[in-house]
Amino acid sequence: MSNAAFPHAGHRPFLLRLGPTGTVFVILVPVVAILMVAGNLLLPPSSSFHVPAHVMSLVGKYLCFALLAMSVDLIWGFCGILSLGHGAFFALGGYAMGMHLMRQIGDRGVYSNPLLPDFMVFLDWKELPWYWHGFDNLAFTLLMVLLVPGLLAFVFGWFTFRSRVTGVYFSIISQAMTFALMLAFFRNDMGFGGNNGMTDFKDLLGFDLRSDGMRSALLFSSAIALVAGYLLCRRMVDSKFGRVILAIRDAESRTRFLGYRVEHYKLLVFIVSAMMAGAAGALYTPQVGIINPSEFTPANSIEIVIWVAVGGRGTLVGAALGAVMVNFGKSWFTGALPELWLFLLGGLFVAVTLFFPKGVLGIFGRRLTGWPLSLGMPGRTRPRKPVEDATGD
Amino acid sequence: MIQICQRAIRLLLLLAAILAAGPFSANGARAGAFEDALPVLTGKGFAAVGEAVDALAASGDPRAIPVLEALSDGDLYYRESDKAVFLARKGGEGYLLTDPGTGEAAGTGARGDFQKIKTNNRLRVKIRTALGALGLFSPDPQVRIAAARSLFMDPDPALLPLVDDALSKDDDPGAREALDLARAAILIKAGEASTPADKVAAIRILSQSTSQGARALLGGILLDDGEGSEEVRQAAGKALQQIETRLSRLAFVENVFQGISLGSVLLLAAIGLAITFGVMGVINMAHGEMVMLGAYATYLVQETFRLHAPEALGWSLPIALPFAFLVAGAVGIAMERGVIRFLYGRPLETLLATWGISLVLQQLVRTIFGPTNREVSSPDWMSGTIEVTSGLLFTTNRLWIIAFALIVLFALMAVLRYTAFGLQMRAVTQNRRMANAMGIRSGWVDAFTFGLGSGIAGIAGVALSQIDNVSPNLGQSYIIDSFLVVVFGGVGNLWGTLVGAMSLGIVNKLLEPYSGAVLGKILVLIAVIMFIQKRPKGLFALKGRAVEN
Amino acid sequence: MTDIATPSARAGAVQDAILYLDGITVSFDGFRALNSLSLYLEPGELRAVIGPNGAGKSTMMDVITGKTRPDLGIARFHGGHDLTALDEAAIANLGIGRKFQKPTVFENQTVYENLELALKAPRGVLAALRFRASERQRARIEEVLGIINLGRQQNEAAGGLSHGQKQWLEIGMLLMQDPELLLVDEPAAGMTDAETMRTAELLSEIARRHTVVVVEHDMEFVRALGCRVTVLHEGAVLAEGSLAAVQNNQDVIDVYLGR
Repeated sequence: MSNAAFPHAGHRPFLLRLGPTGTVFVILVPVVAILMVAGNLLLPPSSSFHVPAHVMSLVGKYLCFALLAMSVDLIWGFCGILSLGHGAFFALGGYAMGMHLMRQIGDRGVYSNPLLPDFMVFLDWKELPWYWHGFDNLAFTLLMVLLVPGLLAFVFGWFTFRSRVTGVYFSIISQAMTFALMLAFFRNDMGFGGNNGMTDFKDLLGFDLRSDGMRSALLFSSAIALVAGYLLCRRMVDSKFGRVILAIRDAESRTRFLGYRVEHYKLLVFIVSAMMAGAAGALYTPQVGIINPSEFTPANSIEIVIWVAVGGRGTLVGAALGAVMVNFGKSWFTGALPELWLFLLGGLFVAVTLFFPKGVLGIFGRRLTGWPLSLGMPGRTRPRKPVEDATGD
Repeated sequence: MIQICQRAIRLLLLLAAILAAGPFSANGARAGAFEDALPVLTGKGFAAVGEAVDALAASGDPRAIPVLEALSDGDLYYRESDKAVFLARKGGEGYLLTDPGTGEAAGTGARGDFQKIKTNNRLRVKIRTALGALGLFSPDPQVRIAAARSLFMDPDPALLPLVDDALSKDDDPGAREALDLARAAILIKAGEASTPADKVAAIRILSQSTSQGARALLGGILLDDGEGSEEVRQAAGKALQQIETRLSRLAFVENVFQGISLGSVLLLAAIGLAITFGVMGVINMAHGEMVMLGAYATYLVQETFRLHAPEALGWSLPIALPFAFLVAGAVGIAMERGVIRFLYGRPLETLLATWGISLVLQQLVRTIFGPTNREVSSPDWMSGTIEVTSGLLFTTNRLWIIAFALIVLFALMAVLRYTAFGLQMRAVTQNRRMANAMGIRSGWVDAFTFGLGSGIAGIAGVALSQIDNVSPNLGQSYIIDSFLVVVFGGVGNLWGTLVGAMSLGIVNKLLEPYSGAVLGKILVLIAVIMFIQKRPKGLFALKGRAVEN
Repeated sequence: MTDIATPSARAGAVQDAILYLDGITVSFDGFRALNSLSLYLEPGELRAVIGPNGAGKSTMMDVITGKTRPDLGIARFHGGHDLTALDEAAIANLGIGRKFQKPTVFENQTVYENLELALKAPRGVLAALRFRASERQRARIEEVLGIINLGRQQNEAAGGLSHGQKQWLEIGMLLMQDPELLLVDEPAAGMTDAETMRTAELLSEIARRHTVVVVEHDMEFVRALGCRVTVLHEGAVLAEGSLAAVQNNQDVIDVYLGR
C-alpha cells in the first residue's frame, strides 16, 4: 500500500492497515486451510467434499512455493535485487529438515543402523559427521532451518553488497552460488546423500508422515507460515525501512548520498528473505517426502522469479498467487501435455516481461478494488530507464 | 637352476648362430641363414623346432617374421613328401599354401599330404622373444623401436648380445634411444651377471627416461634386498628422483595443455557473449542455446552428407561452419527484433525473457530431434594424437579447437576494427544518439550485432559438437561459465575474454589433480566470486565516467 | 590570478575551513579530470564554481562526496575529517548534502515520502524499522513543503512532477537533510527565467544558515547569487574572486573566448 493512500499508516487499526488485498489474504489463506483440513479429516472418503490425501500434499506444496515466491518478491520487487539463487536457500532449509527426518527413522532403515542413515552405512561410514549432530532435536533443526540460509545469505551478501555488485552481476553470481552448491551436494562425500538426497522418511514428532492427521497439520502449518511471512514482509515494507529499500531499488546512489548505508539495508532484506525461503523448504520436505540436489539447479531458482512476475512483483500477495497459478499449470500440463509445458513456461517468461510487467495483480487488482495494489510501483510513473543513471552527468 | 641352464644354452645357441652368420647385410640379414634354418623346423621333437626358432631369430631376416608368427598361430606346415615348409590356411577341401621364402602363393595341397609343425607353451615364449629380437633388425625404424620397447618392458638377459649387435648397426636416433633403454633394462635385470659399474651406467641411461617402466625398474632395485652394491642403490635412488621430477613436470605441462584446451572451449562459448553482453549489455540467457543450435546444425549438415555424398564426409565440418553461423545468427536477429529491443535498459527483464526463449528453444529441439544425444563424428584429420616428447601426448581435435578458438577471436577483432559494420557498431555503443544523427540506423546495427554474437555462438557449437554430447541440454552447461569468463575478463574487452577464459581453464585443470573435478570447479567458482567482489569490473576494467554512466 | 593565495599560505587555515581541498588529482585512463585542484571554503560562505565543460566541476563534487577517490591530494571537512577515507553514506552523515545536475528524486514515492526519506534522523536499519515521525518532524516537513511550494503535490508520486518542481523537491530534500555544506550542481538547468530567479532566491536564503557551493553555467544566475566565484579550467583553479573581477581576468577571457 503506497503511503499516498495512508499517509500516517501507523495509527490505523491492524486490518485496515493491511488494505483490502492484504486483509482478504490474511483471512482467506487460513480459512481455506481449515476447510481443507476439515474436508480431509472429518468427511468420509465417500463424500464428494472429501479432500483426498494427494490433494492435501499438493496444496501444501503450493503453499510452500507461495512462501518462497514471497521471499523473492521481498528482495526483487521491493529492493530491486534479482536473486537467482533463492532455490539454494529453499533447498538448504529442506535439507536441514530432511536431516531431522533421517534421524527420526532411527533403526528402521534398510540397514537397521540406529545412528547412521542408510546412505552412510552404504558408503561404509563409521560415525555420524559432526554437522549431523543435534539434528535429532526438532527445536535445534528449526533453528538451523532459519540459521543456515540466513548465515549463507549474510556471508554472500556481505561480500557482494559491500563491493557494490549490483544488477545482473549480482544475479549471475547468485546463480553461480546455487550452481556451486548443487555440484557440492551431488557429491557423496559431502554427507548429504549425494545424488539421491534423502527420502524414505518415516515420521515427525512420532506421527506417521503419511497419516491424514500429519498431512493436515503440515498443510495448516504451511498456511500459517505463509501468513506469518506475509505479515513480516508487510511490517518491513510499510515502515520507513520499506521506503528506504524502494529508494535503493529506484536510485541506489542517490540513497547513499542521503546518508543511508545501502549495503546494510540490502543485507537485512537478503537475510530475512533467505530465512523465509529456508522455512518454505523445511515445510516442503516432509510434504513431498524427498529432498535432493536437483532443488539447487539454477533453473529452479529462475523459475521462482517467474512466479513472482506472473503474480505481480512488489505486491507480496501477487507473488503467492503467481506461485500457486504457475505451479497448478505445471502440475496439470506436465500430466496432460508434457511436451507443451516448457513452451508455455518459456512463453510465459517472454509474455510477462514484454506485455504484463505488472503481473496479474497489477492488471486486475486496481480495477477490482480501486486501490493501487502494487505496493512499490505506482504504474503511471514507471521510468523506462533506471533512474540510477542520472547521478552523474 | 634349470632355468639358468636353459637360458645359458639358448644364449650359447644364439651366439653361435650369430657368429656363424658372419657378415650381415645392411638390414642385418645374412644371405642363406633363413634358407638354412627352415628345414630344421621339420626335425623331430620340440627341441629341433626350438633350435630352428633360434636360428631364424639369429638370421635377422625379415622373412622370418611371418614364419614365426605362423608357427605360433599353428599355421605352419611341411609337406611330408619333400619336407618343404609352407604357411597354410584351410581353404575348401585342402590348404592354401604360401611359400615362406618368396611370400607368394604356392597353390593348394591336399590335407593328407601335410604335417603341422607343433609347438608347446615353452616354444611359444621362445617364439615371442625371437620375434622381438627379429624386430630389432627390421628395415623399418618404427618396428625396431617397437621391438626395443617390448624388450624394455620384458627384459631378457639372454638377448643382450643381440641388442649390442643391433646397437652397433643402428643409426636411427629414435631406435638407438629405445635400444639403449632396452640394454639398460637388461643389464639391471641381469642380477649377478652384470657388474655394479655396468648397472650404474644403465641407471644413468634410465634416468633420462620418462616411462613408467623405468620408474618400476629403478624402484625394483631399491626394493631388492639382493642388490648388494651401495653404489648402485644410491644411483638408483637419484635416478628415480630425477624421473619423478621430470614426470611431475610433464604432468604439469599436460595439465596446462588440458587447461588451455578447456580455456579455448570456454573462449569459444564466451566470445559471442562478449559481443552481446560485453558490447551491447544484453544479458542473453539463451546464449548457450545458440551454441546448441550450432551443434545441431553441424549434425544436420553431416547427416545430409552421409545420405547424399558419403565420400565427402570429411568436408562436412567446414561446410557446417557458415551454416551454423547463419542459423544461430538468424535466430539471434529474430530474438533481438522480436523481444530484446523492447527491453533495452532493463537488464533484469532481458535476463528473464531470454531465459524463457532458451526454454522454448530447448524444447523445440527436443521435440524435433528427440531428447537423446545425436552422433556427430570427427573427420579423420581431426582424430588421433601427436606425441610432443616421450610421454606427452596431445589429441589432435583439442589442438584444432585451440587453434580454431584463437582464429575466431582474431577474426572477430578484425571485423570490429576494420569493417564498416564494426565501425558502426562501435559508434552505436559509444554514442547512440550521435550515431543516429550521422545516419546510422542504430536499430539494425543492434540487430546485426546481436546476430553476430549469436552466430559466433553457433560456430562455437560446431567445434563443441566434436568434444561434447549433442543434446538439447548442451548449451546449459556453458552458460554460467561463459558469463563468468566475460565478467572475470572485464566486460567489453575481447582481450580480457581471452585472458579470462584461459586463466579459468588452466586454474581449473591445475586444481583438478589435487581436489577432484567437481571440487575444483567449485573452488574456481568461489575464487571467481571472490575476485568479482574485489574487482567488480573484471580484470581489464575500463575506468572513467563514461563507463559508470 | 590576482587574489589567489598559494596553498602553502593557506595551510594554517585548515582548521578554520569547513572544506579544504589541496592538490587533488584524479585521472581516468591517463586523462586528468582534476589536476592538483585546491579549494578553500569558510563556514557560512556561498561560493559559485564555474568553468567550461570538462573543467572538472562534477569530478570535484564526486571527490567531496566520496563517489570518486582522488589519486593524490588532501580533502578535509571541518579540518579533522578526511573525506578521501570515507564512503558516500558516512560523508552525507557528516553533514555534506548534494544536489545532482539531473534532478534525482525517488520517482515512485510521493513528494512527502521523498522529504521524509531525506529528513535528518538516524539512518540505521533498526531505526528505520522503528521510525515514526514525531509532531515536530512532521511540522518541519510541512514547512519545507511550503518553502519549495509543493504543498499541494505532497501525496503525488515525485515522478509526475515537472522538471522545475523536481529541482525544487531536491533542494527541499537538501533542506530536510540540514547539512552544514551543500553542493548544488546546476540548479537552474532547464528552468524558465522566473523559476531560475526563484531558485536563486531560494539558494541565497539557504546560504544564510549553510555553507553552499553552486556549480553553474548560467552567468545571470551567478550574478543573482552575488557571491565569490571560482573558475575551474582543465581540472585546476584558474581564477577566484568576485564575479566582476573574474570576468576581467585575462586568463578567464582567454579560456572562455579562445586565444
